[in-house]
Amino acid sequence: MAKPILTLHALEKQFGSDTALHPTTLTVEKGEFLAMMGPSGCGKSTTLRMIAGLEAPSAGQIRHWDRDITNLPPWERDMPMVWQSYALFPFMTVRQNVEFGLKQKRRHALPDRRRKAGEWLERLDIAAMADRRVNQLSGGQRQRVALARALALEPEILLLDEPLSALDAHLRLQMQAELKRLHGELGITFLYVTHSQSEAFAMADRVAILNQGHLQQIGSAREVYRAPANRFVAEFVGASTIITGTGGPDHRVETAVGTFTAKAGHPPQPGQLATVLIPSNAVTLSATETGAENAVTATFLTEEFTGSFVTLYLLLADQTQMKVQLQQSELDRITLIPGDTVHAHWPAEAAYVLKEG
Amino acid sequence: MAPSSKPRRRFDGFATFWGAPALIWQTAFFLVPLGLLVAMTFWAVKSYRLTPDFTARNWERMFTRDYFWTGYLYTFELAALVAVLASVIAFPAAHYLAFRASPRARRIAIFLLVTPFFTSYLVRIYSWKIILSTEGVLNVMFGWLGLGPFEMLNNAFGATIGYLTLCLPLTVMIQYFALSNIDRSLIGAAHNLGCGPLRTTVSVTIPAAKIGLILAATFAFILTFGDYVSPAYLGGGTPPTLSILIVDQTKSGNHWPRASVVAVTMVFTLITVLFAALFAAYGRPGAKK
Repeated sequence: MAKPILTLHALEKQFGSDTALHPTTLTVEKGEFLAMMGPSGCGKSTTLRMIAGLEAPSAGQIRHWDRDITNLPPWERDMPMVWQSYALFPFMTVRQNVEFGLKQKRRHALPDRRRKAGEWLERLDIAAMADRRVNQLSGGQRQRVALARALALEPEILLLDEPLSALDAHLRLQMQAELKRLHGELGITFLYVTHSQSEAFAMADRVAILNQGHLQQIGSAREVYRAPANRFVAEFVGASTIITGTGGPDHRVETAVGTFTAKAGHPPQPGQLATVLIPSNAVTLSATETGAENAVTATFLTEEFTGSFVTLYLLLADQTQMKVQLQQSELDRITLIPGDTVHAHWPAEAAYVLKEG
Repeated sequence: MAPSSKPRRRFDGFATFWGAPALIWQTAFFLVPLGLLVAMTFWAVKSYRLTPDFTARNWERMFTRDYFWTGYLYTFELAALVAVLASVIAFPAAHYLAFRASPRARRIAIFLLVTPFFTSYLVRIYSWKIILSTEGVLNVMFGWLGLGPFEMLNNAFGATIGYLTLCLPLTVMIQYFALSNIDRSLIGAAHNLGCGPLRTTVSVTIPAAKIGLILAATFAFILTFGDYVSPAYLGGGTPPTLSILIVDQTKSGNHWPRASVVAVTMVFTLITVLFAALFAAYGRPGAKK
């Protein structure tokens, strides 16, 4: 395996008596797009700020290649950051903002930095507003300026702290595609902090999920999606219905709403707690009882349309909410109004049992 | 039918209610006296008696005298010097309070910055006399080192010390408020883009706090320009500042009209300086190439 470009080793951060990050170890590969995600207060931004040197770790180590940069001041690190609030200098023009790092960090002479900044202004499609003040720009344009300012340094690692969360939905999707494209073209390592799993899954090669200062899981979107490490990840990803019960023989799990066979994941231990995930796209609905295994009877609550998919919410007998995702076309087969009773079943191979303990 | 979309100004009783006291105060105690002051510059003094008149003689008389222009220049230079000195001396303290101090240290410091206003300015100036005089505390200590004695009273140095006593606490506070209003992510961004502490201060902190820093310096200028106590008691009154000239005119010959000429000149100088400062503060730096 190639040497990692960035290593966090038992990195830890305390604010007074609060722990923002429990000892965390992870590595980042060169050229990778790693998203750190989790609910607010999970420690993701603190981690990014420690990598940038803007926050001092309480313990642990940060290595850039082989170099220990844990105690290096931020201005000696080479990891420009894109801020949620953009942090553009309001007393400078767009061009001066983009030139700032080239002037201060790279010590480029004026003609050089003018040329280089010009290239990035072109590349990010903001050359037309180069001589405007920052406060004359829209949010999307400001984000482009912030990106240009950071990328103009042509760094090895780019840090992004919730860069899209202040943009409206349409612009966010557009910038997502653009970030993904830039990452592909530039070969720069992107470290991206977000609370939005759709952003993380849409762009990142790997996703690190944090909760309350603990790293929960790190892996590709597919891994996190298909094989969540624990209940928090499963709930955070939100792609499954979670039912808990007691393990039995032959992959069987006894629950309050029936006994099911779950063959994916970690075999349930007889007599032990077992958490079963039923992927919402593996469930089949029918109006009448089918006699299939792994079946439940449920009450239809409501539906949500997103593109060509529709998500239906059902209520099981024990008040667990079940999520079912169908193609819109499948809806023609079955007509439901809220309050209707519906039968759901799923293949044993799709039901995933979490690792316990 | 849709009503006309043209916005109409409505009488806002609430805003008027709150605005009225300030407006009345300003009219009664600033605009009216200023008008009287201007009117008085055209009056005459006949055998030590103030007589309403309409003559340009007072303006002529003052503006053609060298001592007036010497005093004007001296006052202006001192005020400018103090504005710069106060700004430079205040900045490290304000910077420390805004960015480094613990909340507790900050509270204590702000309290200490307010306490000078508890005692009379005149008393504080007198205490400087004790410290600065030829046999004063400072010169005694210099004597131990085999230095001095230094002449620190009755000159520009003494006056400057007095002026700084007057305006430093306020300068520090205005600068502190200006600095603490800076968006912290700008400082982080500067560090992130390669600026150490000094470069960050020069290229980001100061430009970002520009308005407040200019206002702080302007306040120092205004306070100094009009002050009478420091130049009279620590500066020795020579060359006279404009404030001393005013007193001189009224004392010798009861010449209020000429004193008014000096006062009106001062008011207009301060208005000009204030507008220049506001323009410098709120001007559009990005418009420059």
